[in-house]
Amino acid sequence: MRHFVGIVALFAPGWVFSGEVAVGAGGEPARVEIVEGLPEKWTWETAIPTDATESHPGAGTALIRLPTRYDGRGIEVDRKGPILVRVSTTAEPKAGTYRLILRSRSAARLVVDGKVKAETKPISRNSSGHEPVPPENPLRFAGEHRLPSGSQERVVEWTADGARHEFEIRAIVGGKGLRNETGEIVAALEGSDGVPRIIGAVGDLTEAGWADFVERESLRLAADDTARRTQAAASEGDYWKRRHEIARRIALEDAGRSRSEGGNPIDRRLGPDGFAPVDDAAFLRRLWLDATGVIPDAGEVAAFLADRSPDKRKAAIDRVLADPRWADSWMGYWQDVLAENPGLLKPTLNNTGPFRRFLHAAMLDNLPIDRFVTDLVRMDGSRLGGGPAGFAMATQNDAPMAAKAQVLAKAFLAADLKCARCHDAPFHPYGQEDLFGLAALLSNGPQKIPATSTVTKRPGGRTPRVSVTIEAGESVAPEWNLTEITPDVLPEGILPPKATKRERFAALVTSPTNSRFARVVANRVWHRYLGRGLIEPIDDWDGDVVSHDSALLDDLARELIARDYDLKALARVIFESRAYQSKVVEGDSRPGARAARRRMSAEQVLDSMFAAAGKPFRAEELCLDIDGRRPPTEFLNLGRPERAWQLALPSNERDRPALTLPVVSSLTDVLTTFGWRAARPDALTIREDGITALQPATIANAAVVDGRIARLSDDSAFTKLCLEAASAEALADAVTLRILSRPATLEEKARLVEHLGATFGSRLIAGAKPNGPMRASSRRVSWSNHLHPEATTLQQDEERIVREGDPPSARLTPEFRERMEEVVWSLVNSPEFVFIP
Amino acid sequence: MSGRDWTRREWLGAATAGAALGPAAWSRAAGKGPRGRAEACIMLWLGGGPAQIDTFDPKRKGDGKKVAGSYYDKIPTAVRDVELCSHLPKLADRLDRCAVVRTLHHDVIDEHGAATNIVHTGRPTSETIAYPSVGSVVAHERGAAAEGVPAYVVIGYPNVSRGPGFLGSKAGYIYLTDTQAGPTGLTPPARLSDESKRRRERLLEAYRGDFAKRHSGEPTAVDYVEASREAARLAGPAFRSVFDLASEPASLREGYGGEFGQRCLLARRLVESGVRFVEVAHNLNFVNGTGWDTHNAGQLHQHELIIELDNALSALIDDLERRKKLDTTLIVVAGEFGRPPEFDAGGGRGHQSTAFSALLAGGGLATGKAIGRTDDLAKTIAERPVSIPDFHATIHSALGIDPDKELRTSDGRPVPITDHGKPIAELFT
Repeated sequence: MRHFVGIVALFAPGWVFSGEVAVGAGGEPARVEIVEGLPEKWTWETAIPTDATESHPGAGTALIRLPTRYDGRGIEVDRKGPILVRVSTTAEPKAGTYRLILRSRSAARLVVDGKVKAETKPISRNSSGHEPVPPENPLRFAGEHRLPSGSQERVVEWTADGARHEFEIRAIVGGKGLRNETGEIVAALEGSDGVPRIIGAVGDLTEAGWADFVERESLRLAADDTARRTQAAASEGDYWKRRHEIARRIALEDAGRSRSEGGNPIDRRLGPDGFAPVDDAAFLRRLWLDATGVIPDAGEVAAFLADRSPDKRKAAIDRVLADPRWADSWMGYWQDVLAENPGLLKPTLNNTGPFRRFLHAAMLDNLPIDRFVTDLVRMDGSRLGGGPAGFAMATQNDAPMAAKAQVLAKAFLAADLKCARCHDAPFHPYGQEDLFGLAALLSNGPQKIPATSTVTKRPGGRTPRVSVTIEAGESVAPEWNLTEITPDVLPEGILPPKATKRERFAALVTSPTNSRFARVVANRVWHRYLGRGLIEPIDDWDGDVVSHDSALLDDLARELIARDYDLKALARVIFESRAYQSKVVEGDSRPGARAARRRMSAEQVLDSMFAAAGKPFRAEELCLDIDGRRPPTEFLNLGRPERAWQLALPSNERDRPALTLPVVSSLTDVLTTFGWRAARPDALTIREDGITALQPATIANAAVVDGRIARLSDDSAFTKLCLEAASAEALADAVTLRILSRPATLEEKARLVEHLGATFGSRLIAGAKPNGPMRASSRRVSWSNHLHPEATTLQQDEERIVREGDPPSARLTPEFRERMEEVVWSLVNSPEFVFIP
Repeated sequence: MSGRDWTRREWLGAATAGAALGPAAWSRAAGKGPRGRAEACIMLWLGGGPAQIDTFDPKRKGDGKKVAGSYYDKIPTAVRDVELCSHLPKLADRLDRCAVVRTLHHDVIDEHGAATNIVHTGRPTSETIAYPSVGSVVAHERGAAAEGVPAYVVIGYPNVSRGPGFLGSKAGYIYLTDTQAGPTGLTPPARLSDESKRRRERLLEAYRGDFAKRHSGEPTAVDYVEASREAARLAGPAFRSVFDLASEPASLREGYGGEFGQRCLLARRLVESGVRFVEVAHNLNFVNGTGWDTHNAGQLHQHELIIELDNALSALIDDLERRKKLDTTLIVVAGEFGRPPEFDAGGGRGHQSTAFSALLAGGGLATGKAIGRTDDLAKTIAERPVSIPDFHATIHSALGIDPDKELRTSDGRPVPITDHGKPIAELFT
């Protein structure tokens, strides 16, 4: 999942790329074999690779993470540690003397032709936090990819005879009290040119070579994960096909007319009049923000505007729906609606597991929405690694299943049961027993009312205005109590054989006989794209409800079912409608009208700024235990964020300077201001989105805008425009197109040209070398040493480095650069930037 | 987003909603119970959990190993029969301006995060609602006391416990982690020349004007344009000058001490400029390794933290008093829990939430007393327990806020400011 493709090409163009020819390329493909569940007291003699239960294609003698493991249905599951990983390949190095280099975080052996050549030690667990901060690992040569802190390296001499040899690494990963995390495991061969190359793959241990390898390898691993996941998911294909046939039959019977009428169903319902179409540039920017979460590439805009074909909007819609960023565009929404709330450090604040990985995979695979909900409700798979079991988790919550029943009912049935957690809901038709009956279904057994889930009258206090019909401590039997929404009856073929009570819950929510489900989902999608629901509130249909167009919603719900609950198909129907493509008409109260301009979401603001600048986040790995010495129950690793939805706060309730992640904070500062929730203990559909002066103030002053987005560094797409611009006019046009997705007006162009003035003509400094990007030093502070005084000073220095931002390009004169940075800054700060056209 | 008139007062949303009513309105506020006259609050957060027995609730001395008890001697104070640890001599002289609350308690001990959350929000976490911090409630209820400043500032790291919960970002804080660097989001980069700032502002203003003209009928668009102009004013010299600690006399700055002291000085300047609630984190853990979380060897240099607190807090009390602002500025000193009288295997202390101390100063309270009494080893409460809701109710009441007032969530659910909290009556006589 890497969307800033093309960035690496910009990444320090002056650096040496030395992996042109892989050592031993053309040999047998590399394999990664895995043995899980070794005894805690494993030895190299008992850790036998032939016991492997999994075998995956590899990339030479380097491993940046384990392939994700899926169960028979394509749900991510955890492996049982300790794990033996064998990475092997064959190669035919030219005769000569080499150095063999082994790097690993934990115990590993480098084996050549069955003989052990080098070995690293097992990892030691740590809980104190008082260890000294290790010194920075020295570089063996300038430009080396530094050995990560907490990793080990062994270097041995080796002589090649020109024949083919078998190279393998056997490494131990995870175990009691440790995450199943590899760190960087690599074996490299260094010849007379002094470049340590990965054996059997293109890649080396220079800084640029490694970054490039990681980039390609991440993409390869993600594609491999997707292939195995979708293949496993196909095992349930027949079941879902049958279900969808049943659903279509029921939906069409209900409809009383067939879908064969043709044309866009929304246009048919709303009629042809009164929708003034928005112009092409605005349409494209709107479409991209809605369907990918970022503003369109400048090239895409230019091509679209130049395109004269009548169906170019349809083609653009096809393109965005095929774009993998579709999945990203949904993430912030589901994280809020489903209260995804992982904590990086000792989670205790109603934290869930990081089931964001399940959500993302489901969106990427465009899992039918009924199946997506079913998988979520089953809560199977990995709890702390990213599977749906993470949804089941609720730390320091005495009735997690009551919490989950409540989240699910609100998300997919617009039934608001939150009051029922502690008392009978005063304004809703739900009693406490209803919620706990659902909770019991999810628990597959009776559910006790916890002592905290009640309302007590304090001596002398006011009398509660709500009634409590069941006592704390009472046990409630599993029962579907939302019979006003849908009866506790399922059509033949909907429930799989031997279904659990939890699966019955899932089936009742998603059954085609439950007409509310499809209507609620369709209304959510409509609301996201049009800015207003057809029924409001979006997540509560049992209180004071305003219905703007119930008939249109029926049409959309039917459309969703007829298209096998395919979210993309529904989105396509909406995107292609005249209503979606119409101009904003303030206060237009007709159903389907765009009555108000939407402000970008926090994620859209941040991701779009970085997309415009063509820079990656370069954020820290979201983990406070970077040397991997603590258990997953206490420290999660959410990986290196590339999109805004992947971010999280470092949970620094402890206020310790040593626990900061300065780049992450520079990004979350922007997100928080625009309504992103750093914690999501409760489900939320509509973020509080009031306008405050801190929003524009943050874009104006945040270090990340000044030092990264507007900074003309050598990794900036704007710098590239400046270097290549034929004229100041052309530059003004190009930069406007990149940021606002439209050509500059004549007036704007004149203004920008005047602003640059004479600096444009003499902007280039011949012969100057490009600089690298912001150089955060290699991370050394981890939980194991964060209480050491040096940890604090190191992280405070890091904060200062991050505040400085990316080093400016030396290829542009300071006079021009200053003017041009003002231009970029003003465009990113223009109110137009944060609004969806 | 609904359309509404943009007013300069609303720069941070809630900013001056309260101040607009004026002080008279507060005394008329609904609800029973006492109302104080404090206009602002500075909360010094001793993150990690300070040992009450080594600070505000000293007992018989232990030996640092097997024999439980205080780690330091105790000293008399300006208040008869109330003693403090010997590393708080300056505070001891000023204890008549303070009230020591010795019987706080809650039932979260295992984790700093959860305890920090409960002491900030007054409630355990819930899956049905995200509760606001005490600072956010004050910001929401009283707003900033002047135009062009935020209502709530944190000098420390951003975290969820300090956040606005269901009150939304308008009741949120701005924060800074370094008194030298200024608050994120409101401090333009120092490297920019004034001329460059003027030039880019001129360009931006042209974009603002065009956008406002094109969308003049849209309140949301117009609001944002106005907010953007207001943002430019905020980042201007007026608010920035608040952060210019160098403009204070050198002797005063020295009196406050190191970075923590400078934070306290900045807090005073912020409050003076109209900020309603400032939380100052005192957990620069490099002083003794662990900050106030004095497990094991963290105990050895705990006294350095205590001395640093003694210095800075006393300087703050004196400074406010000299400026005749102590009566209207409530100082709160608290942490997430306390620590037991017993020593752990490494000579430090574990966590204890059954009884722990906090300190209140100034704010127009009836100070010069200790509230509540613990047993011989400060382990259990002997008399007059003070719950976290009671403690919050005391802070709110001192600031003229009705602790029983019901706030509304975005979907209309009523949530009282505190959960049945009763202000400590002895402090309002």
